[in-house]
Amino acid sequence: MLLIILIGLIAAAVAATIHRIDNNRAGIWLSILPLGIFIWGIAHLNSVLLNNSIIEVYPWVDSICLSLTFMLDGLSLFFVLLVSGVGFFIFIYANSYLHNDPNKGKFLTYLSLFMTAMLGIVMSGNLLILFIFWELTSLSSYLLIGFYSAEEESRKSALMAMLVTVSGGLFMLAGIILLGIEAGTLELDQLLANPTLLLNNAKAPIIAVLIMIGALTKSAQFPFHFWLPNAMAAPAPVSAYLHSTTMVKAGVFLLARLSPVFVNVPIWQSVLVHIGGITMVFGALMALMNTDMKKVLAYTTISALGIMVLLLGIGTTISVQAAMVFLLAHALYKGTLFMVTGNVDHETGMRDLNLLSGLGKRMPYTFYAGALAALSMAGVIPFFGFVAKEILYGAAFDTPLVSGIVGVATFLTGVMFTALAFEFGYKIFMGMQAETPKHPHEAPFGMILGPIVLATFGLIGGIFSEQIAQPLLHQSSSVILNVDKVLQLGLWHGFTLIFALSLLTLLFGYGVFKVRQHIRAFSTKLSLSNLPGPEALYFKSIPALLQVAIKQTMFFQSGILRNYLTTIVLTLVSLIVAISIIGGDFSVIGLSKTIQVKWFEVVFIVLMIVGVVNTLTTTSRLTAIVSLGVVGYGTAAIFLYYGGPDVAMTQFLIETLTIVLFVLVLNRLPKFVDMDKRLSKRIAFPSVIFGATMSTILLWVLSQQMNSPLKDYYSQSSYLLAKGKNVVNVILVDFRGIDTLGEITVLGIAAIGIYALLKVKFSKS
Amino acid sequence: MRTVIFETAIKLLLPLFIAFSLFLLFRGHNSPGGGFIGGLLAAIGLFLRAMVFGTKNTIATYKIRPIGIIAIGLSVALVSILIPLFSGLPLMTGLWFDLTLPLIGKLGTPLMFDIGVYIVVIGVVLNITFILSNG
Repeated sequence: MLLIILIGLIAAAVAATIHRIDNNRAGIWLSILPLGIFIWGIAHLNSVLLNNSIIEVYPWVDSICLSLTFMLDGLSLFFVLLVSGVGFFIFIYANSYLHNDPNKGKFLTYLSLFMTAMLGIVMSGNLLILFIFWELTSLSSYLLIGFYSAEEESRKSALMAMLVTVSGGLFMLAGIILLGIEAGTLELDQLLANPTLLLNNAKAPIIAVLIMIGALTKSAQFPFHFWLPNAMAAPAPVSAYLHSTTMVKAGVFLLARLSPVFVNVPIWQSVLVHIGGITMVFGALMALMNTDMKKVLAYTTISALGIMVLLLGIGTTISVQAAMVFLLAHALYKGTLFMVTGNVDHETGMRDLNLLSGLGKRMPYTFYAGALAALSMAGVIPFFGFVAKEILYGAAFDTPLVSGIVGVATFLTGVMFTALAFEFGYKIFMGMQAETPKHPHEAPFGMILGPIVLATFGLIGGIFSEQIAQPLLHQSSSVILNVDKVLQLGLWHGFTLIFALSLLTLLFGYGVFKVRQHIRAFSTKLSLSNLPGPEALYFKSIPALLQVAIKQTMFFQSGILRNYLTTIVLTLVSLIVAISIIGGDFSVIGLSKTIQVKWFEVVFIVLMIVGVVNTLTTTSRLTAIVSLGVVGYGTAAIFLYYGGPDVAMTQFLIETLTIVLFVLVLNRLPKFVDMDKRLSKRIAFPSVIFGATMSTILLWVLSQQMNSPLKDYYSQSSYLLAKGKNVVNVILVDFRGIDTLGEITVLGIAAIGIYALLKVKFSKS
Repeated sequence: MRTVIFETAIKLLLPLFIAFSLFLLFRGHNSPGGGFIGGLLAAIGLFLRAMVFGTKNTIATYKIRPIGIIAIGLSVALVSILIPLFSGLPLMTGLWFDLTLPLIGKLGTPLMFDIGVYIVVIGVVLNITFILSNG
């Protein structure tokens, strides 16, 4: 499985080159990748159905529970087949959709990366690895949504999608780390094998909430839903892929994956049921209010994801099975409808449900696919959507506790879905042909292949649901929950209450379709869409955040050197004072040892004092520089005397360099004026306090008995272990070599920074 | 500052600067010295040359810009810490050859690392001084 990920990444790397070689068929060539993965998945179907999950482990960093583990069980395989199967058609579709776009190569790179990341999520066997792929989908979806980067709308939407999902991802990371600390492992097979791991853990609710935030932002659940409708700025193939099997389904996948771990944590269930339920109804309502085809579909996706989250939250056998069945049905019809929308948009230049009609004659194949998908969405017998709707209603009315509310809400959502299905499958294709910006004709072969195959599969999958879908869906729901009943799919279960409800849904749905204009007019009158929501909060918080950043930067980065020094010095001093109040013992301070002062030391110190005084009082900058140099050389001489030749040598060289540098910039500096009295007092305060503190510390250190084993260790092992007699140098290049590496890297970066700053400044003046 | 005296002096002094800086670099492992000090010394020598002949002339003579020197130095240091990986040892393990050369001493990855430090320091110092003096 690692191989698949690597091949995917390589494909992403060479996609642009393939595009350069074979401009017209690059997407076709790349579609071999998902096709191959799909075949690979089918090849493993039998062993997975026999409950043999495949696990690949490549140990990595044990200390943080990180290993490259990949896992293929029922749930993973279900998603692998979905992602690669739909992905195959998306690549072919994109190839035609971006036919003449010079950036097609770039697009295919992003798309390959996105698909690989999604496959990585579903095949991860370690939560940290999963997180990495999780963030990779956020990143690559940012690139995909913002593909038309010349348009501001695109960039804004892409940024929004990334900020929302990535900030959710950060919560999730916190949850994963906490889970790792509490459970002692992040390996999924171990977590899933011990479902009682977090049973009595006090931190379990916190972990559950943190991980749920990650999943719910990704799956566009209320109140984080707003990024998804905006993401329609992406090209049609991206939308089709993002909504049907990837990205937003990742959140659902994660909830399903971790259900066994959290099923006993009460908050898990209640949050999922509430959020899912609200999102389900809210999304369907919003879908009905809009007329932009892409926006409508986006809200129905939000609603459908709400249904899945709700079902996973209910957590009964039938509800988990219903979640998987509905997920498949939704992936098939939503992928199709987005591609159909793409075709309509591509061929007519518009996508307003109110204005479009009569396209059926001009675009017969698109009509065929759209109609089949809409029938499945509406849940008409014998489509797979019908099978899904039956089991969905079954699960909703079988909910413990609040079955009534959940049932009614699900029914209402079903009605609204049906009404919208009429719009997509019927309204825009039938009747008089409407005026459109472009003269419509059928889309090219690549753009009708995917919709037709997926929509047809929605039909065949419905008729032969028992043979095609049942085994794998059963297996994948058994991974989520220890199911007590084998999944039974079929078209006919007799005249039950559920069947009656299905019929009623169709009837009511048609009714809503007929009166939809009144509903829309009514909602416009109420101006529901102008209500402040989470989206408004997002748009307020981003500039606010920038303002805070600007303010705090202005505050700390005043650009005046003495302010920086004052900050550093005062912080240091207050820290030292705080520490000595807590634990310092200053009774020992004093010149306990009688210090023998040699005559040349006195000479050096007198010279240094003269240098300091001279620096402070002189009116000439050159004198000040030279006086400072005297202080520096004096210090170096003392180092030399006390047995630090390396330090002394460095000090000498640095002093020399400093003077050279000063000479260089001397004629560039402003006039050297005497500071006025107030300013010099302000500077005097931190200087004196700093000097006093450092003197006290030094005296204190000198009066302590130094018993550090480090000194002995270094001097003993320097030659034995590192073959060097100069301990200072051995520490620098060997014992603490990684520090030195960091330092020289920082030096290099600083040099580049200085280069940029000075070059700009000088070229200006 | 192109004067005959300076030009002649620096022509004689620069090789001495470089030789002494290399001497400091190689003796560093056993006696006072090392890459940092050596690098500083070499940089001062090279900078004096630049002051006399001009930075443009100096860059043209050695055919490399300071930023490039930094890159080379960092790469040398990086390669030196990666070498042990090929012997299956952890990153930065000090490996030594049994060979001892006159003047240079023992050869090993820590010495190579120190050479990297030496080159980076030269690059950084020259980078800053060249821009400042060029204006």
